[in-house]
Amino acid sequence: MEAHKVLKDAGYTVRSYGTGTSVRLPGPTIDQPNVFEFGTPYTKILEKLNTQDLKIHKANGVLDMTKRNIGIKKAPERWPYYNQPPQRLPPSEYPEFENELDFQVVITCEERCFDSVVEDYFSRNYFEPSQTQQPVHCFNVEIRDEHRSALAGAQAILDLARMLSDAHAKSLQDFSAPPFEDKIPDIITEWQQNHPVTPVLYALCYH
Amino acid sequence: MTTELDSKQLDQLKEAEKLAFDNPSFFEQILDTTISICLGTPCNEFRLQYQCLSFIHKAFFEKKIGSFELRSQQSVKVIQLLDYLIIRNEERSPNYLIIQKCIDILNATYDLIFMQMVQNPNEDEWERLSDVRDYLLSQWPSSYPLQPYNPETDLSRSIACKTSLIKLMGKIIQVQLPASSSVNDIEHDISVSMIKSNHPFLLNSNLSSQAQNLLDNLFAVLNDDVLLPTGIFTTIMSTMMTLFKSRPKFLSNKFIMFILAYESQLKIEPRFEREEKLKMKLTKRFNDRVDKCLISILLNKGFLAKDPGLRTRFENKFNYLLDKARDERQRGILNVDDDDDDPEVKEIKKQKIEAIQRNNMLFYNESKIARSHDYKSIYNLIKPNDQLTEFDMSTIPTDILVSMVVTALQKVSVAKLVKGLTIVFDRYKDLTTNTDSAFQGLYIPSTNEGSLKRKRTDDDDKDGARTRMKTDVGNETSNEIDDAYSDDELKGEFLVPVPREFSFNNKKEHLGFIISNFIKLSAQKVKQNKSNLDSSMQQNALDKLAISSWNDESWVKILSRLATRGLANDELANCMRKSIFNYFKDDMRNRIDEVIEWLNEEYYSEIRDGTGIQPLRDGHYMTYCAFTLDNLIPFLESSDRKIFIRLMSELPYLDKSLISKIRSLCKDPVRSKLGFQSLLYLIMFRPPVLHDCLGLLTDMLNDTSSDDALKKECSTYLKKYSPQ
Repeated sequence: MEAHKVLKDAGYTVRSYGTGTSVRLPGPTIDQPNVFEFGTPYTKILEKLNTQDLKIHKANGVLDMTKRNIGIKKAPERWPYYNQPPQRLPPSEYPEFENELDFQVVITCEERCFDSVVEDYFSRNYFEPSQTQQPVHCFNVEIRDEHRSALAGAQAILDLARMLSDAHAKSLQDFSAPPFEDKIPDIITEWQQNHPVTPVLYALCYH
Repeated sequence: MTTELDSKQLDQLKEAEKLAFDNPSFFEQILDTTISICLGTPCNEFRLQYQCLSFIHKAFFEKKIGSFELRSQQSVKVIQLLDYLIIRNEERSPNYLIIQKCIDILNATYDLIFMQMVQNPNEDEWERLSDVRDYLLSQWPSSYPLQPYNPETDLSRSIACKTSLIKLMGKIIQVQLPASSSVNDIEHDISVSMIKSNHPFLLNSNLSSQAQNLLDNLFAVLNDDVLLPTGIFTTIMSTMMTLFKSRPKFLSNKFIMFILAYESQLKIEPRFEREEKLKMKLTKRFNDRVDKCLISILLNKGFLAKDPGLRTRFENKFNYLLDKARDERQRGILNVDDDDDDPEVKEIKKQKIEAIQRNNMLFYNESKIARSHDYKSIYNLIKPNDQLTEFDMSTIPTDILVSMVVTALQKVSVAKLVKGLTIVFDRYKDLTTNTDSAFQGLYIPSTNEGSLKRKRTDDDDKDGARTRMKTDVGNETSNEIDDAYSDDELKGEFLVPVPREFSFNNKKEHLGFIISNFIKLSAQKVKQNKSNLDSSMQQNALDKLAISSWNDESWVKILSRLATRGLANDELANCMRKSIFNYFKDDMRNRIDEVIEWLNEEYYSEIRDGTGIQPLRDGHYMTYCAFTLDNLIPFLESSDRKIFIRLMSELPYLDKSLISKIRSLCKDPVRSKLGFQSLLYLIMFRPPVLHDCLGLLTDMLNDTSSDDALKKECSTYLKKYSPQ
């Protein structure tokens, strides 16, 4: 969500999703996590957290994170997996998107999530052969799930987004320049050199 | 630059687009108008054309026109537009984005047009569409529409058009191969199964065989030794996934085994990118990850449930990829020095690199076309973004420059120098003869084409001598013919001097030119002549001709007959054989048809004067058969079963020495299946070599160096086919 915020603030059209089965946040004890269904509004999540030990939630940053998320979107959403019931906000929340998969770029923050997304796209290629022609560039920027790493990771993602959108804009303006897609491998390499501790993954998928 | 008029037109087009999508009853009318505007727009008016294409792209590719019937009815109209933008503008530096959109549009409409042709046959339109399709397919996997550099670098260029082309290939394969089940869902499964047997021009078998070739072509690129860029790799995989569902019987096994066998570590980096180690390492990492995702799908979605053995192999591969990725992370993503630690991997890659270097790829920029009209473009053979290209050589004092050139000439190999000079020569030739890149003509239907005339342009007046071609429409007067030719007017009587007789070396050199010209012909797409002339001629034995109409294999027929029956001098004939063989050697797998044609000719010409069917042991047939097998067998993969068995079945004569070459395949644990399959084939279908095959099996059984698995396999075959 930190990356969602940073990208949104930078002017990009963004949607964010979880890839697991539910939203899991630290609970009062290590063996009692707070589990919410996707689609549960952040305000309700905050209400529940407020009923628990606030000291712990303040200390582990969950309370601040939830408050921040309220400013970004209404509720956490689940990746629109093929053939699974939607757990997301209504389309009216995203007038800029033509459909739930209307992306040019997807960036995940864990290799596990990258695999889920890429496998979902491949599954769509298999199960919906006539519907899968639109390309989408999928990246993974590996970020550890804790507050400081999330801040640094979001900046790294913003860097990648800027490099990609600059190259894309340039290829539309200057027809003598190499096409955008030809520059992607060099962009990734340059980005990786600048961010050596966040190993990147890439795949060109279709939906 | 966009003028006020253009921007007004652009706004009008955008409004029309909105109207068509909001109210599909206007779609037909707006489509017709848009196509005629696009056809009437000169190619350098890029933005207007792009806007027209965007509308068509949205309607068909993005399916903004939701009605399948409406899209289908209107689909045939795009043929004319695609023909204009792709075929007619071929020589006029096509715009990259325009071509990409065209490929996507063809992809989105190919099945719809096909269905229209099944229901309402129109042979002319189908021919036109086939020309566009075949032209685009012939560009795969080049850097089209970008100018080429060299084959390996070009694999990583023009990725967007390549991926669109892969998707188009997928669509063609899907349409031209029969559907697996009865056609219930027309919208999602249009195929050759819909063609009725009395259709006037759509032939099920021809279309299916083209589709099968395309599928083989995609697998060939996947199995190639050179590392594929991730964009291309994942697009082929995504297309295969689609075909895996829609046409399973044509690719399931191949696809599954490819996923299992893929090993990025064994792929070699494109020659001019080997130094970009991080980029190459990342590409391998990405491709491995995609492979891992596919394995995960096959394991988790029940694809392998019926075969526990295969499932175990996939699980092992999955774990291997996980371990590999973990090791890589632990070593650090930027650590590129310890790649390829395994000496076995190094050895395999070394062999592959040596094999590829025979392709004579010596310079990064091997394009035969200069990118602009200056000396730098003509002479530049290095990477365009190399800092050296910015260096001004004229700043170096002449004496130093001379010694640099002399040293370079002393050190460079003759082959490299000749190749470099040939490229420069070709660029000069192209610049002085080819058409102008700025096409300003209007579209004229094929029946009424504008005439091509040479004329001097304003630019030429400025810089003197250069002449260009322009396309002019209508009747131009004769005074526009280039007056540069007036210098060539002959005054007085002129006698042509008697040519000097060629020395032997001259003959050899010119024979080399002839051979290379014929080999160049092999790369050209030949349109098949459908006339009945061929068959009617063949009915009369006296009129039998080897070539009555030119086809893809005619060049090899001519060259092989020249070598065997056409040249009196043995040295020249051998020189020709060597050239033919060297050409085949570069890509034996994809040239197997021609190899078979040639060796059959060698065999025939050897035995036609004798009495028996046995060629000479040290004759040309046996020598080149042995060379062919020696050059093919080490590079065969398990997936090359068809190619190899075909070669072994179609070679006209085999003896013990040739069959014994299969031994290395049988002994290789990875490819032993291929070796035994080919032996089995020979045992069953070529009785004359049965004893030689059984002899080889016995030899391997008795060979002390054979391992237990090999002996067991040999013994199984011997028990079955030679029980005594």
